[in-house]
Amino acid sequence: MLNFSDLLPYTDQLLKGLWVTVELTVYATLGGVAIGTAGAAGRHYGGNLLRGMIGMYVELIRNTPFIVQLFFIFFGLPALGIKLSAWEAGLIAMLINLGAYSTEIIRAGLAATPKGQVEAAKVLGLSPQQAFFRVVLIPAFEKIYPALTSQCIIVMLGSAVVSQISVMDLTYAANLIQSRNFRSFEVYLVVAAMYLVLAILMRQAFDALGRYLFRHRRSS
Amino acid sequence: MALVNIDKVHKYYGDLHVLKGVDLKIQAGEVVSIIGRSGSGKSTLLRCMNGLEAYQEGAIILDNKEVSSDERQVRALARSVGMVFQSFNLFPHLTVGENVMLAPKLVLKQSAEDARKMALDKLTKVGLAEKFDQYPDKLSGGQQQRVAIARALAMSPKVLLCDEITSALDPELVGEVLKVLEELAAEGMTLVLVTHEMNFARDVGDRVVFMHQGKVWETGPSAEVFANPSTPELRSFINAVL
Ligand SMILES: Nc1ncnc2c1ncn2[C@@H]1O[C@H](COP(=O)(O)OP(=O)(O)OP(=O)(O)O)[C@@H](O)[C@H]1O
Ligand SMILES: [Mg+2]
Repeated sequence: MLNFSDLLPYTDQLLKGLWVTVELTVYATLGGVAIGTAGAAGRHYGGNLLRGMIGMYVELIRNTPFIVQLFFIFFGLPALGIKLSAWEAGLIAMLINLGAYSTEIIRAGLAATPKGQVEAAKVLGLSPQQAFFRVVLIPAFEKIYPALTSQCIIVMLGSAVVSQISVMDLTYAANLIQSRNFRSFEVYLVVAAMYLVLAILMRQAFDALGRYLFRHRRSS
Repeated sequence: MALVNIDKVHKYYGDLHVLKGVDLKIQAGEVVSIIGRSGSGKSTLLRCMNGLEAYQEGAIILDNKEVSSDERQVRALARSVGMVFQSFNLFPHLTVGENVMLAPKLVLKQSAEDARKMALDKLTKVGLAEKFDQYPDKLSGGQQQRVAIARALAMSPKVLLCDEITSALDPELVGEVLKVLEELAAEGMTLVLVTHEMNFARDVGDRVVFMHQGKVWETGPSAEVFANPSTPELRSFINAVL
């Protein structure tokens, strides 16, 4: 017999967990895309040393499990005297993870920008920074926007793992509730639905932002 | 002193010796057409004139400034020399007006109002003021190229470099772009045109520069050069293209 009313007493916990997940996701998305933009710029325009270092960072993150990265930051770094709260460690792990993946994604966008547009900016007298932010960036994002959107959603869903270091996120709340009321089926069904709604809302937010940023598209 | 002084310029791409001692002077107000076979170094010369490419020997003095590919130099040069490309290179995410206003605002630090006035003025000149709020991909190739010309003119350059700016256009759109160039020439704008439009070079250009094997092979007043080429290379080139 299914019984969802047994969840009602835990509404508060669920909402708090939801909020933690949302908060982590917002910070990680903003910060991760910023890191990715900087990383992609460094990899595209930088010297050999910088390019190599960014390449190593990207490969290191893309070829190791997220949960190991998280454990390393939370359990490993204290050995170096770096002590972080669970929440901080969770956020940093998400930032570093999304930063690496988005570096790779955004770099593809930069590479696809026609060289002529950069030259046009240059002969008009724009500085390299002005050319990057005013001329290159938006068309570059336009080309990789769907991939970037998906990656950010993947990181949101992957954030469930931070419950493993006791960040009180949505999954942590689910684990806690089912250990109290033994309604695993109901709890995880509800929580899965909440992640699903989050993912849909996130996609819609990205789409709305994309319609604004790439409004030149609508004209065609 | 001439507006542009090119003195024994040599340019290498790695081992490839592309410009082999180019000498050329261009006076203010001149309309110079650069012609020559593919690979003779026409684009390279143009790109050396505004610092897009570095050259290894010789000197280019433009508007009393020595041209180098140093980042800052290129930016300083943007006030003296404008360039229009074969492939338009408009910024797709900006409207026509924003394309034209971008550099005046960012580089010349013009106020939004001044930049707008300037942009409208230049777009009127190329006959596209009514496209101010359109995005480039809504325009025909000829219109896009005219916007690119307006964008270059908005920086008030002393000389405008054009590299085969009609080559990517459908034949029926070439005329509208050439007409704009003709009007600029009539106003006294200094133009340096790499072109395959021999009729235009002959009828509108003051002077023709024939490049061959990385050198200025022959140069002279347009009508004369076309009627009486003095080198066999130019003669065979003219025979091949006319
Ligand atoms: N970026 C580059 N790297 C290496 N070689 C180049 C580069 N750009 C041009 N070249 C070479 O330099 C030579 C001159 O090229 P350039 O583009 O100046 O010729 P062009 O006269 O403009 O020819 P076209 O009429 O085909 O445009 C050619 O042999 C070309 O292959
Ligand atoms: Mg060329």
